[in-house]
Amino acid sequence: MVRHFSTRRLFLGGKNKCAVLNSSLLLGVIFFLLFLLYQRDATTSTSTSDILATPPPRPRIVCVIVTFAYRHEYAAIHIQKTWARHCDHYLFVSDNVHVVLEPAVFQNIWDKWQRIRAHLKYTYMKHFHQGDWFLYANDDNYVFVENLRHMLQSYSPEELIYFGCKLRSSREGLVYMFDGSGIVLSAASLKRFVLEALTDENLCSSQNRGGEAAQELGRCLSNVNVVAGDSRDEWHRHRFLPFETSIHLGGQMNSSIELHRYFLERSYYPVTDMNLPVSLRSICFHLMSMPLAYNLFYFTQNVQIFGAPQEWDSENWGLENQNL
Amino acid sequence: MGGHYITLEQRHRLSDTTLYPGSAGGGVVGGSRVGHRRLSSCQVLLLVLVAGSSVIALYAYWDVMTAGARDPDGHSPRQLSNETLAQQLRREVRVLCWVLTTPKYHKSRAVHVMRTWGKRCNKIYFMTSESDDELPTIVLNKSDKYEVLWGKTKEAFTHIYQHMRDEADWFMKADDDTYVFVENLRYMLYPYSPDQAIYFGYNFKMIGAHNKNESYMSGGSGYVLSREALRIFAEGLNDSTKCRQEDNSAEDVEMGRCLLNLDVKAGDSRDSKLRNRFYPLLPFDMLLSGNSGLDFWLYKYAYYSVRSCMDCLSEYPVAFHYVNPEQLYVFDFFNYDFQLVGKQKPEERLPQKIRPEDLVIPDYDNMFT
Repeated sequence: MVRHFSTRRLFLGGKNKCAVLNSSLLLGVIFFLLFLLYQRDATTSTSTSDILATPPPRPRIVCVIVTFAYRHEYAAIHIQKTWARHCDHYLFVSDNVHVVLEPAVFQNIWDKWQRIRAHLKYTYMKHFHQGDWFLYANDDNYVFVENLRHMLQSYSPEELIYFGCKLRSSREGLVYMFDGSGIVLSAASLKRFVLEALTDENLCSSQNRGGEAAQELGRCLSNVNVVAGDSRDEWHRHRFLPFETSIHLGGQMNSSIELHRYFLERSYYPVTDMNLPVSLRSICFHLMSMPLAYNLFYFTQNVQIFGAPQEWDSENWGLENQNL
Repeated sequence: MGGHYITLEQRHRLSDTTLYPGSAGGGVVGGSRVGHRRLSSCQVLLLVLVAGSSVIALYAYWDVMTAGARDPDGHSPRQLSNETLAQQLRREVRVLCWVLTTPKYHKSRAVHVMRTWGKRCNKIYFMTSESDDELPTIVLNKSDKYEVLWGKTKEAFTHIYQHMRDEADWFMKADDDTYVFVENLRYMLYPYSPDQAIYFGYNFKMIGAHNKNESYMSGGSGYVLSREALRIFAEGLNDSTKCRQEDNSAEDVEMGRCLLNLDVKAGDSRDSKLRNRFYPLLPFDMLLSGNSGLDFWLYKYAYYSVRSCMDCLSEYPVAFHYVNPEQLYVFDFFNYDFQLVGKQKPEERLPQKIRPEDLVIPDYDNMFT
């Protein structure tokens, strides 16, 4: 018979049957297994926090939503009921009071650029301490604030940068943001705009600008060195969309529609096949009809698809295409 | 050392079968053996230690080893591979969808149904009067006119019963402006047996002379029959005392009346918080109180309560109506593709099966009429 665990050569003195090495080997195995057992229970709780560095602070967003008295009941109130409360603070700016919206009232300002100047100055003076980023949006925009917060986590509010649906004017190559979608300013750029641009006639006009309010804002910001950021995602899909969901998801833009033509002629990024690729984490759409805000709210906040995994790549989900 | 070696004399004493060199004395050969070796205490200790360590290892990793197969509620086990709950339900609750359409709408509506939710049914067929290269169509004899919709419905179900009844457990009818959440449909149907005579949809009060607790299902938001209900319907629809023989009249009303007369139960499709899963309009109507006034038709037709509020629709909706082709893609994008950062998924488990004898369908409770 083969001698198992022969200790003859290892122990000079004895012919121990229960060799010390023998048992210690096995005890070592036992302790190793016990160690594994405890280690497994311990690692689940502590490993992730040890690995991650301190996460970046959650960006605070102040939403400034532009409305008018005639639109309070049919537009602005739905914004207040759906997405406005997801901002860290929201402020309606209007031309009259309202019991629920509690807007800041600006009377007798008939020019859009003058309104923008007044709104942003007011926001800086009264609400600057409440946010790291400032969203300037309309009461017919739907904004996914959570996705905006996620995008802004990669930037610092100290940067001189602003985001939106980027356009370039055909004449001078001036870069500005489409005013039908949302515009997001960092704290530093809002401060610089109010303190340096608004006070200097050479940098920023104080005259009425009519239909060119958005261009003037772009001009002023670029004159004080605020960068027009790229708000597209990693796959160059757009997060700030100029038009409504049914156009971008179920149809395409139409150059015989004046507003679509305006956008198509000025879009900073190339448009192929009359449409923009839509990011899965998109931020802003236009609402053609206000009740649709409730559909978007319901789908994104409440609806669950039973049995779908949490992180889910719907495009490659597999079984769906096996029907035919 | 000692007795581990067989000496020549010992070997001779054993029986005459061949001994392999080196085998333990008296190990392999049958019959009585002299010199039966007792296990030494060392070997006992060895055995105990090995057994003990394997017990410890088993205890430590038991849940890891059985994760794939175990399921506490006694449901059928999931595949060990990463099958999601939805994929498991796709196997276990097979749904055949059929869509009423017409050639005029093949390219403008039906293909979009196919490309959005249609592909998620186990099987989908379009009931129309002409075939189409992009769609799985079934060409019916009845024309596509609105007036013979009931006739077309009867023909469609009959065709399915005759040729496809083994392809699925549940059979859903929808329109080409219906949007269906197929995974949530399976979730809703899971507790029920396909051998039970029952059908589901959005309950309307029965039209015409009726008792209080009689309802039919809205055709626009779709209705789904169990396999047994399909059989009963297909075999009973020619009975003129139970079902309308002429082809005209509203398809959903006649379906409801026929199934009622054939003793098919009209189930309650609401969730555990009594929120609607089927809805014959777009979601915002049930979410925005005041979008429609009190004279809106829904208030008179509904079987169950019709209060509108932000939380009045189920988190697991099944179907909506009046969804135009662009909106089909909007629904699809926001419910399946779009990601809202930070949205949590609740813990999901398969519900308990409901035994047919335990089934309770709540009474009519719409206080508006």
